Amino acid sequence: MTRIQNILQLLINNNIEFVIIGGVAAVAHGSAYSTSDLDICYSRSMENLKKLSDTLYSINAKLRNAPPDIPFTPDVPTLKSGLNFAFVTALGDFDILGEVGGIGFYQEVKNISNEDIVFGLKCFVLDLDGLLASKKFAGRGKDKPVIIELEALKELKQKK
Amino acid sequence: METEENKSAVQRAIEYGIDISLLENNLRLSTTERLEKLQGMMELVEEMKKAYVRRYRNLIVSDTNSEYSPTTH
Repeated sequence: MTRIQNILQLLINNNIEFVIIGGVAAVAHGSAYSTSDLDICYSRSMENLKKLSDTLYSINAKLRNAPPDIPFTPDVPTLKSGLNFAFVTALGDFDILGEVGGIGFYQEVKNISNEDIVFGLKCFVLDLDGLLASKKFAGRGKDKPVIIELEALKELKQKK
Repeated sequence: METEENKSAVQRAIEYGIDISLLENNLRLSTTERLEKLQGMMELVEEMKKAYVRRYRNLIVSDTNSEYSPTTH
């Protein structure tokens, strides 16, 4: 099970630059759909990669859905040579994206995110328009009801 | 005539089968409260998975101990 608060606390404590995206961001905006992992978009600056690598080591991050015989260590060169990773960790499933389809890299994602207080922590959360853009770009069938719901949420928020 | 284009997003969601009252309730909560609900749901799913595994394991054990078990024939 993904321990959202514990992962966020760890990221904040380690001064990692990130934005909450995906299903957790949707729930943060009021979505009633559930999710089982935490997705973030992270800055690919060298300093951030180093902090992120240390954090991933500390929670024993392993690639999810990869054969166990594939060697993997979340060191800086590995993170630098890849972009988006899906991990299983001691704190649950945790995905990190260097680029969000339909939006761009960390800075573009951060530009359309809102600072919010989550479990008492100051975090950036991708805004509703950003979530809609990423879901529409992904074009997956499973996202269709979520897109319809997010559009309704946007309208309800505008009416408030 | 009402077309798909001029329907409101809420109307489209209702017709799709989305329960708008759930969204309205969520909008009354803080961000943290919404994520606490999600975390609670994750915990429930985890417990149900564990219970399923326990039950499945017990079924295998009782089947193995049964006189009708293929292992005793």
